[in-house]
Amino acid sequence: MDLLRSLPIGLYLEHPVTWLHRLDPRVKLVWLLSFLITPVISNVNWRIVLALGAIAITLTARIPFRALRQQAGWLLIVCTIAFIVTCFVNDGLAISSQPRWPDSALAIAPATNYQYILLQVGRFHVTRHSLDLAINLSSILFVLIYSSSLYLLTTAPEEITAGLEDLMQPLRRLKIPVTEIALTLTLSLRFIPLVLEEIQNLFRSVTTRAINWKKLGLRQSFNLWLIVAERLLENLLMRAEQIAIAMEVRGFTSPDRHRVQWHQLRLGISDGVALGILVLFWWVRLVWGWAA
Amino acid sequence: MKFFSLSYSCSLSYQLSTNFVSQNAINVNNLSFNWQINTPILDSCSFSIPQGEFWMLLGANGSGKSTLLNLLAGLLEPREGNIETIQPLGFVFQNPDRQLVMPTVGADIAFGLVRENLTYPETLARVREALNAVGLLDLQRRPIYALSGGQKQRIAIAGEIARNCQVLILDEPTALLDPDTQIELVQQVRTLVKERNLTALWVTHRLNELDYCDGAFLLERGKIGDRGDPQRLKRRLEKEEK
Repeated sequence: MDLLRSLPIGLYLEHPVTWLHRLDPRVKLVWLLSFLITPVISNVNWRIVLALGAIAITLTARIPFRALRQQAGWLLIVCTIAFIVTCFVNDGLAISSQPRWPDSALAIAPATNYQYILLQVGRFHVTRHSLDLAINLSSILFVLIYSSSLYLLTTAPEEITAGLEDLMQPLRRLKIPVTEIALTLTLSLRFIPLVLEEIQNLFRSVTTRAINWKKLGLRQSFNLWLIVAERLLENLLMRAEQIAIAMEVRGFTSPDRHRVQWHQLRLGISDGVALGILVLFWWVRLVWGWAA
Repeated sequence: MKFFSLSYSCSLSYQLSTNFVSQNAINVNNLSFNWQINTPILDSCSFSIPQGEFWMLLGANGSGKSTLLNLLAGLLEPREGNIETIQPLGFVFQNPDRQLVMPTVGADIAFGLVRENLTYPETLARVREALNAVGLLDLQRRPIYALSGGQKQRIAIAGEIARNCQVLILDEPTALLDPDTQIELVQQVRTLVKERNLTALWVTHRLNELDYCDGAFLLERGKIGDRGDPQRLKRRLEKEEK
């Protein structure tokens, strides 16, 4: 098990460089937020449009299949399971009605071919309401996770923080240390793989010791995990200290002045086009996208 | 060239620093260090490394190697004696995960350049030049976690080269590498030292690395036990091992 390589989300794809990579991180962030916000109180059509839109963006950017297989594969499985389960479980609408009148022999032909129950398989049935719910749930799950992972896939971590830092500039007036926050965030993004590595090492050290869990009992094994957790914290603090020393040696200035000049944020023509489409996107959402 | 001098307490050190030979990139005079009284870790060490040469430092565990390096890097202050080195001085740690602080390669190298207040094109040029020097220009956008151990170590060196470090101190950089990558790294550092007229002090445990350096020291119980021709030192240590 290699935690570092099998981690399904938050990977950055550095090659090939697609048009999504070239967009300004701020523009991409606003688009991402739009994808996250617009599904709220929207109708089913809008959610399906969003899901298809996210897939269309992936296809036009020609993001290689190998990068997606890991990320989108399990997401599709989860969404399908969510869809099927919500379809078949009780939709929560109490519609088992009892007629007020005794049964009459008179059979009235239905006025339309409307059917509340769409599909019946033994004791399980799919109703209109549960189908609606299922589409809502699975599409929202898909859009939320897929759009964020697409953003992370095509934006370098320090590009994200540089964009955030730029968008947070107005907060500087309120004496909020914007550069320090952005730098801390960047450093912590580098720290995540190290944390995973530590966890993995500790996990291996426990598994290689052939501990007889049955003999240990609940109390003892709780103690053991406590020791492991303590060790993890200790190691992480040690690492943080080492990194602090390394930063010092490598010419760290001061938290609020250390702006790493690595990504130049400049809006180009394609960013303008993307923002134009975004306006259109919101207009469509606000005119047609509301839930009934 | 700028010289930076750390002088402490001793009147002797002052006299020595006046006849500082400008060809030396590192001068260490009578350096002593201890955490507790009566158990010195370094006991009046003196040595110098000529500019443009690649030297190695050998020594058993607990002989004071790490302390010496920390003193050279300015992480510790000497109790006695003085250290003179050309600045800026670059330090490469044994574990590159300790050194690389930013999430991707290019940004990590740019991290060390903030102090110089460069513009974006200047930073980009420096980063690319440094990556080119270690032969990893195509990894500029790669996340650090996706690199191999040897690559990480070379990125760490590139970070110090980008800062225009004249002196490189490498603390057992090959300890976590496999034999092939190990020799590659030594060769590359040697080439860098010769091409750019740098000075490097390389700490090692592996005797076969001695074939690539210009000179070597042996640190024994806080003192310089032996110094000079690396081949002679290598033969001596090999004999002692048997």
